[in-house]
Amino acid sequence: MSFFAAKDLCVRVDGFALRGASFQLDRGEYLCVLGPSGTGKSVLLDAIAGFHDVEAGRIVLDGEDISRTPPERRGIGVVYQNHALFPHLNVFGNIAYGLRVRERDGARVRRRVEEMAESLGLSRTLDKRPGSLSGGEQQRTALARALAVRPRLLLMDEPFSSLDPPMRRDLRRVVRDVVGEFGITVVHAAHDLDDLWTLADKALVIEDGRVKAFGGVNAVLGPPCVPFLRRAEGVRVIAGIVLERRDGVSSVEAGGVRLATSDAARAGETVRLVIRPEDVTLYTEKPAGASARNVLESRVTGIHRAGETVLIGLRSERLEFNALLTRDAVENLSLAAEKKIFATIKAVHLNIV
Amino acid sequence: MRRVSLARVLLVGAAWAMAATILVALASLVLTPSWTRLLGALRSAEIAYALAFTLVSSALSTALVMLFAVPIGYTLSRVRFAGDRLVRTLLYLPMALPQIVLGLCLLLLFGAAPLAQALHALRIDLVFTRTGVVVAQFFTAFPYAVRVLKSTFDAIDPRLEFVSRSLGCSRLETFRRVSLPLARTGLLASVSIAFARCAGAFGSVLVLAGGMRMHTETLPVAIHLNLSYGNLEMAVAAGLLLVLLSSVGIYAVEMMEARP
Repeated sequence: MSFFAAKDLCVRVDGFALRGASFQLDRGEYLCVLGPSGTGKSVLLDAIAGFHDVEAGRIVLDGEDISRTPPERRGIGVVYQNHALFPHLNVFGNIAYGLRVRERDGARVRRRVEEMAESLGLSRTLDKRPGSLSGGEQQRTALARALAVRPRLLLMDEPFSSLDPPMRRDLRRVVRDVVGEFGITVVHAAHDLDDLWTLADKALVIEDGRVKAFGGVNAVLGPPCVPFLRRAEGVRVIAGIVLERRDGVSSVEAGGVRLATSDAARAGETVRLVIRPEDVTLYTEKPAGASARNVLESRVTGIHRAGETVLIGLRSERLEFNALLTRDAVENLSLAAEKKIFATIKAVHLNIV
Repeated sequence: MRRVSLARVLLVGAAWAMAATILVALASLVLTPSWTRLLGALRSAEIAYALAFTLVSSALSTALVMLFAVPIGYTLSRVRFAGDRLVRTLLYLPMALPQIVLGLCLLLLFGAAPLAQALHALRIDLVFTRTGVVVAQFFTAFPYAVRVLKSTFDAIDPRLEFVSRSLGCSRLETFRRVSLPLARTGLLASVSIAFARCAGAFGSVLVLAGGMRMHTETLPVAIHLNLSYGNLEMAVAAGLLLVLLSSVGIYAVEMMEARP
């Protein structure tokens, strides 16, 4: 049985209806909920948290039906895009807020707040009011406040949208580390696909209040994929271990293949790599003297037409990825299922996320 | 050299002219009567009674107003329900009514059977009584207070309350720990407006509670009674005290707002 499940969930809010949403997560999984603006992502999250009444369907958390449970008894933490920090409390007061509901021992509350502040790099800001913090510090505070009470599930509604790109990258790293450390299950409404590559195990796409796709990240990205993800169709997110870093190149073992990337990483580190179909070039013969550092002997596993272009599914050892070609190129290469082909990817195009 | 437009000169001039008119009108309270007789009026038993009664009745009615206006203002801000627009319109309606009409309505409501009989059985008489003064003040001030409070709660992000509940606080606890502290400025403004409306209530008080000297005599009623008898100094003394009360109220709110 899954740790968290939404079953045929129907929610109506101010004339908007979320209909028949179903999905499930195992403990510790990270779900990204994607979809255009105003499509029901926030309604879904608020319904899970208990802020909107469920018209039909069930929400099950850790074996318990919480569809009618008041928010304060669900054990679900929330982090919003606008941080929603209590402006009348300082950072300490914000992080301690939920702890003080549960714990009368002031010394234990202080210890826990200091632990959380340490984990999220907030130790120097505990006396500050939210208004005097940077956007990143505010979001870290919101995260620390939510995690301090050890929620069973964490909901994040576009938590990075109000931050500038460098701060977003920093905070994604923080979230990945902290969520990993706490082993917490997360549902994250996102607008930016970088959140998907960087953080998610699973993806859910909602359009017009209905779930259009749900599954593992690579499965949802297809091909084929739903129209909302068309610009990212065939992108592959793969996990690997960094073997070494030498001469500006990191060697990563992923799916039985040794890949080179120009992105910096420490030896022994587990990383995620993104292979974009448009960065893959195919050759019928092994290219000699090519500048690309990754030359992968591969087999064609599928040919998917996508309008004027074609996505070629490829496998090299256990590594699966896609290449985006024109129809002309497919004909020139005489591509067919199981055909042996050489794929190249430049090290600068293979990114650690 | 910086050019100043004619429109700007006229608008700034109009603002100054209006402020000066109000200042002169207020100053005439002090300048018109003789100072000796004015001091005598201020020391009179009637004015002392009117001041004490105004303070006590306004404090009571303001407390009652806040007791009802805070939860109702919060509900109007946060809860969508059938007929909510109609309820809001009815609640705010007394603001648009002349106070004398409001007083007449209250007189007909509380003065006629069966409500009057039912209240009498409970030993509550509102017509021509001091309790009636409090009730008239309450209905005069309530719409203003509830309107200010609704706007105050509207301005508080509901997500702050969501977060509080997700952290384990009940609805009531969330209201106490988040909504009320964040509404502090609006609450103070609401108390100040409600008190000023109560202290200054005239038409509604006169019609429901009557203008009885040294009984239902608030400061506005004292102005009315003494002007009717031609006691200008007594009327001015009551008027000065009302201005003083309002000024102290506004200053106190300003001071409290300025506190971190």
